[in-house]
Amino acid sequence: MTGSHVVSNGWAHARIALQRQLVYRFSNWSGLFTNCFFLYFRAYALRACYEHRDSIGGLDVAQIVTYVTVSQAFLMVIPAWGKVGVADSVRSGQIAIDLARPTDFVTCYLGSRFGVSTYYSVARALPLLVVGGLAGFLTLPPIGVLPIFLLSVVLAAWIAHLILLLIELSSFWLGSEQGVRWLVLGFSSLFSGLILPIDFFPAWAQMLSRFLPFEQTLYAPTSVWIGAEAGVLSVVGVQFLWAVLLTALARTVFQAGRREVLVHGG
Amino acid sequence: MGADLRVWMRMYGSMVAASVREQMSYRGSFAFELLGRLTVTGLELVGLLFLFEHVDAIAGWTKWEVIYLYGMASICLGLGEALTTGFDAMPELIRSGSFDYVLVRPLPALLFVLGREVKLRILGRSLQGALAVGLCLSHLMLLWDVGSVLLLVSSVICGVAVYAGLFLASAAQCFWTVESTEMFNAFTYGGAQMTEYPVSLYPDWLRSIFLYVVPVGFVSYVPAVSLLGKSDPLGLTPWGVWVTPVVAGAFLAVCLFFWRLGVRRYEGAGG
Repeated sequence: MTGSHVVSNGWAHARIALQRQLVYRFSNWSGLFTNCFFLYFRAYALRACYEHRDSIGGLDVAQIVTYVTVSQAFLMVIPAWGKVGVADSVRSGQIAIDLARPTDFVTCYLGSRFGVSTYYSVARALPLLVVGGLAGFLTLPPIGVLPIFLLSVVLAAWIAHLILLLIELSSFWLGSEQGVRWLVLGFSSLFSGLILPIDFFPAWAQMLSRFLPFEQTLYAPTSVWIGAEAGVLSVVGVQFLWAVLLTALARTVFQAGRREVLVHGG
Repeated sequence: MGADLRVWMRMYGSMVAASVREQMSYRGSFAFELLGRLTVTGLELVGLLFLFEHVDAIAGWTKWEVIYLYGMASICLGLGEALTTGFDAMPELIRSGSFDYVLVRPLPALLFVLGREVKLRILGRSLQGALAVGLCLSHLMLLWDVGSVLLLVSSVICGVAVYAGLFLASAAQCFWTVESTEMFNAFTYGGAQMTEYPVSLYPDWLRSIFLYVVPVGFVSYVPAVSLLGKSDPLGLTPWGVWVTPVVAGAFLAVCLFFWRLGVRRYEGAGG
């Protein structure tokens, strides 16, 4: 299969996934409603920590409320949670059909997931940025940082979707991926910086975080936006390396899983 | 009526027992998921501990006091969620029309739907919360008497009642929308998130929603202020302590009424 086929295939999957999302409008409104509440809760709680001090972990109060807004806004674009359907099709046997398709599985998967992310950028991220802005939580970055931020979001979504895929691929061997799912969710909600910016972590935990992929999801683009990192380009560079590494890993695991299915007579 | 109730409870009990037996037949995956869920709530707690390396208090509440709030939110949400896992099937029951079969059972529809599944693994959250509450109560060295034990127990019951009410309302909403929606998550998971910290730190409008409309904040904050002997800038104690069970009960009653309306609507539609 040629490179251009792979790309157009991925693109088609993205378009279909985007169309499918558009059907659930009520569901999106109620999700947006919920996201707003979470945004307010976290912003006010973290702001209350600044009552007697100007800076925590190198971040001031304007940076922290911006951090909360941006991370909550892009939570669905860069998901840490969600079923992607691979485990279900392993259990039902549907995966055999996917395996027989003359397309590259990981590319098609990423394509359709990027369709979902594109949808959430418009339906969730933008409105939440506006809500945060109206509440006075949002400080905009210098205009030159925006393209790097967007690139960082794309890489972050890439990595996040691969993590979700790897979780579900574990069902090739485990039967149920639920345990792995929760385990990963626990680590990712802490180490993606969803609960607290990684700048607040003690030194040992910051060190540990560098060896985990979760920091590259929600935290990386958000830190670019608030200017927490000196070299924004190096943030994106590190993300790129992780994306390449995890793509290779996903492919390898998928191939191994495929053999597992074949052995079982799939 | 009394005899009916006894029969219903026995039937509900045997349904729950069957559901538990079913889960126990997959012991490995059960243990693994429980462990996974413990990790989620455990690492949330780690996040709080990281935060308290930088600050001594949030809105006047110290580390162990905030951990108490966090633990109570986890216990109540976890128990409320575990008791109501049967509701997960609601969208499917309504969409496929199988809710008809629920209505002809010799058991109230609510008890039947609830009894079909009680997921024990969800209790991971409550376990974690109980551990947190136990730890901070031993740290805070409160003077214990009958009153404070009663307050702690009733605080858990009221919290579970409010969360269970929310899950009930969320299930009842399916009678209108068919799909389940995320809207109620703002109050269930969102409520737990909010009451991890003292509600006094939120702006008025947000706090009022969670004190007087969806009283997740009320049943968390008021007993905690009283039990931990905190000063209360909102002026809700001590009178609020006596009102808490009434607030929780009234909220649950409203949610039950909403469910009734939903069932009636379903029947009225010729289902």
